[in-house]
Amino acid sequence: MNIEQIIVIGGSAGSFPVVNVFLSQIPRDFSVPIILCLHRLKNVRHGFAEALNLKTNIRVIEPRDKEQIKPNTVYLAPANYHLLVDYDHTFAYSIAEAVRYSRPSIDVLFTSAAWVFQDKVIGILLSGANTDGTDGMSAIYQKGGITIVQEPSTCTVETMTGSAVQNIPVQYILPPEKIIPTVISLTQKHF
Amino acid sequence: MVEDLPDSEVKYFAYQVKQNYGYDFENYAMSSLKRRLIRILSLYHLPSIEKLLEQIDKKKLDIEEVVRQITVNTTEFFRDPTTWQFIRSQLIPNLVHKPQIDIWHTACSTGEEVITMAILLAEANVLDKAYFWATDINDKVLEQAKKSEYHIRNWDLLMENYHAYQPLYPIERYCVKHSDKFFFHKSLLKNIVYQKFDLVKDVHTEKYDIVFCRNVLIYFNQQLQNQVVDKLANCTKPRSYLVIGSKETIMWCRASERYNVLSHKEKVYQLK
Ligand SMILES: C[S@@+](CC[C@H](N)C(=O)[O-])C[C@H]1O[C@@H](n2cnc3c(N)ncnc32)[C@H](O)[C@@H]1O
Repeated sequence: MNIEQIIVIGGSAGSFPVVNVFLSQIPRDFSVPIILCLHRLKNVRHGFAEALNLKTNIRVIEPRDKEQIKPNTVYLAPANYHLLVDYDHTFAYSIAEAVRYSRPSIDVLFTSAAWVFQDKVIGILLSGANTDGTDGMSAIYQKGGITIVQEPSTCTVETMTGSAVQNIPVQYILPPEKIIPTVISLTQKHF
Repeated sequence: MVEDLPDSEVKYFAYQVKQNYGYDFENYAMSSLKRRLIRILSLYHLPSIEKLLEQIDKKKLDIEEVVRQITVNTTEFFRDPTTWQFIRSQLIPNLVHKPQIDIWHTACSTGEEVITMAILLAEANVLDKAYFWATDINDKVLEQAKKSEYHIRNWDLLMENYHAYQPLYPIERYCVKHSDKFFFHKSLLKNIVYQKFDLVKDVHTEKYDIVFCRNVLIYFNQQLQNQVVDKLANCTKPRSYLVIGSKETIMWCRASERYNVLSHKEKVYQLK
């Protein structure tokens, strides 16, 4: 399966409502794979994917190790493991050290996506209380991918998005309600 | 700082290390391996893979230390408490009647998983007839495991997991704290043999009642997983068990046909 584009989304404190709205507005036939990395409580292993599932038209799953990335699917990084994508378009987990106090780390996911999918990546960074995600967005930017950041003033906690906006030339700085229309126009030809 | 490495550099490193030092990382999952290598370059302040290889060649860097940095060694006592509950309630009752219980921990890192299993068997009063072969690719972690002393910073996580496991006895039955360390009693550890074993290239023919292979398959690509799980199946007694990591699966492996799934969630398999 040829992957034309891929969306990675990172968020932390305050991002859950935005993610939920995002997923509820994704059209049923939206084919571009979406990978979500959200910081959560360590031992909340189950229930999160199910909670998201309620509000979306697309399948939300926690990928298996070495599972092939497929269209029309939302993948969710589980607690306590880093989630990476690999060159054969499979997922790979790692329990390496936390990065910026985070595991899963947005930097780890975004950077691997940038390595593998280069300029086909759309990176979206949402509300959060630490600086995870900045290096990942930078990697996406350097490979020619598209960077979208939730406008810091609209974030419950703006540390994460603020850091990204300060350190890299982000292409789109958007309030939550503009994110979906922008993503849809950026992916138009692929679904 | 190096932020990216061409795949060719990563492959070149793996090739050179295989030729010269006998470690085979060629079929490790690429993105993870690359991340580790970038981390190593920054750790040792080196600008390139070429320089890294040169340092190893000139013995300025110990290859064992580099291997330790490549492999991910993070581990926990009672990691995934519900898995240990499952082992306690579903596997151990089938083992207690055996004259001898043979256990292989195939990627034991610094030994936490081995001690965890020893505590389960002590709870069941069968520790004396249990024999552990605890192996890892990396000498450095094995040295640490043999000492079986742990820094106090690991204590809170141990207690959190131990509590979640709902143990029969307080942890103090098995270990003592002393200044900034804690030590496990020798009686708990007397049947554990730590030894170097590389899952990729070493060969083994003994058979075990339980084989643990947790959180190492994730670092292998599918082809290597296939090969390693074959090896594990060949080292498992009929009707005996394989336990893998909570995010791992053997479903893509040909050897999966040789197993029944005892628990999808706890990743426990039984050889047919
Ligand atoms: C993340 S630790 C897992 C420790 C423990 N099993 C757990 O789940 O907590 C992974 C271990 O696999 C070891 N390892 C990596 N490649 C290996 C190989 N080819 N053969 C044996 N062990 C290997 C590493 O040295 C490391 O100690």
